[in-house]
Amino acid sequence: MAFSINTNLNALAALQSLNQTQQAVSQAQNAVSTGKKISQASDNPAIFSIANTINANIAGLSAVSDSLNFGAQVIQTASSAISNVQTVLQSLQQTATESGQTGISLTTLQNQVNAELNSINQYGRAATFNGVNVLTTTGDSSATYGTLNVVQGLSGTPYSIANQATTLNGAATTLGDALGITGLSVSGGTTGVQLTFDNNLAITSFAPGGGADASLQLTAGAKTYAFEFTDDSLGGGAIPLQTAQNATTQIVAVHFNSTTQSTNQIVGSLINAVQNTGFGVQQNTNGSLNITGQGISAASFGSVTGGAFTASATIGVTSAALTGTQAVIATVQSAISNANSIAANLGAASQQITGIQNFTSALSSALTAGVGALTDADLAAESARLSSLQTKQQLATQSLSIANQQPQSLLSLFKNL
Amino acid sequence: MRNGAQRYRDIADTTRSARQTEIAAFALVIRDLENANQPNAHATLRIAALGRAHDLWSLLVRDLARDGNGLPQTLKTQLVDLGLWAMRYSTLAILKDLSLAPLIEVCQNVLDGLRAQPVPILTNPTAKSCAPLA
Repeated sequence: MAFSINTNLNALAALQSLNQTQQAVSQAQNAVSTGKKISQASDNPAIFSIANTINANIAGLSAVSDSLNFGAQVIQTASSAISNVQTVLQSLQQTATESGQTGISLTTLQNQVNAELNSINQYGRAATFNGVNVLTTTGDSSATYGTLNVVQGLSGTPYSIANQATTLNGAATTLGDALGITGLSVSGGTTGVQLTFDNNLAITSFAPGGGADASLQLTAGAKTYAFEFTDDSLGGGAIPLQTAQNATTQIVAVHFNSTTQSTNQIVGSLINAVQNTGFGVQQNTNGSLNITGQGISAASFGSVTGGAFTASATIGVTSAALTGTQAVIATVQSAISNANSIAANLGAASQQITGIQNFTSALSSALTAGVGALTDADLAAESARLSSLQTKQQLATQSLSIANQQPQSLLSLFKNL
Repeated sequence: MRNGAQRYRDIADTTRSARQTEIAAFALVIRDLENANQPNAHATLRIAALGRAHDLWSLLVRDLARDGNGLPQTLKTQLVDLGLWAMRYSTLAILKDLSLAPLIEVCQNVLDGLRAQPVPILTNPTAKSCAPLA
């Protein structure tokens, strides 16, 4: 025998309300978002199709927004990390400058440098968001992958943000490697070279692909890196390099165009090529280049003929060794400029996502023509506020939950609490 | 044939628990956003709070857009509209230094609406949780 709840007026009202709710739910099983009772295409093909398109577009828009939001979280996590790294690098520059003063214990300074280098790599590892990290490599952290793809529209074409560490240095494992600062030693272990270009840089006077290629040879440890200039104006970039690559010699092509590019542009291409090979490059105000990292000890400009390198002074580049404090500071400065370029790339990615996010409001306008479609942030915020007040009143007269079909899906929000 | 009391319990439990879950979710999101809106709040806190706010609205909008959501058409459209705004605002606020106050206020209004029950729901200690709809 069931107990009677009829004596309780409130309960009676509740029962009526809930019966209505139940009715609404069962009616809703057959209703589509247009409010028309169409559950199959055969009931009314036109309305069914429009309703389905709108529903699919809202679902699609949500998927795009999910992807953008995820991308924004990864980018902002990385930006916040790189901004901390920039602070550490400033302090490292101070430490490097102090290493030139007499009377300061180099051991103490080195310990300080090691701690700072360590914290740079820590920041890199900590920039992992949901398994994605664009600041370091899989060899260094448990991040599953390093390139971020963000869906940018209903068509599904992704916008890609490359891994910043491997973009700077293909051989990098840690963020420190990418910045070119791993193993920085204040006690004389850090060396570098300085290249000074005279006004008549004669790279173009060589006949690349013909008898000789202009080449910059860097000696780092037991390895030689040969940067060979290939003139795209002569052979469409398909010029064979002259020196053979083997275990101790790495060949890197530096593409330039002698008819369209200025000397500065050619030097710019060289800087990129040297940086991408993992060296730190810093351009000084007088145009000279400081090249550091990987134990570099010597640099020589010349030409390559038939696989043999001959140093040449006529090319207009002189090379001098950087040692001691000078080399340490050059290394840190190059790391600072690398960190700045990562920060700039992340800033550009952030702009891009903002742009895509604003574009999605155009799609929203086709769906609701309301607050969600306003691009002016202040205006939209104010409209949303007013609209939410109306929503509040309407929700108050409802017994149903908002997500009344799969309410349990909300439980995923309580994970990791 | 199920009697009135059983039917009442089933529907009340489902409706109440779903609505209670939403109330708890909005309360959580608002608490996180308020913490993140403090001066000197850590960037990680802000990113996580806005990520969760986005996910909440995304889940709601997906359910609202599916055939069979039982809310009245006007309310559905309004909530989808608010949701699309909230999702966009959350993402932009991760990337830019936007105030979190408008988002907090919108969430608070929805929470208040959810909390204001049209009829008092009786507590029933013996009720099964998450009973399926009859």
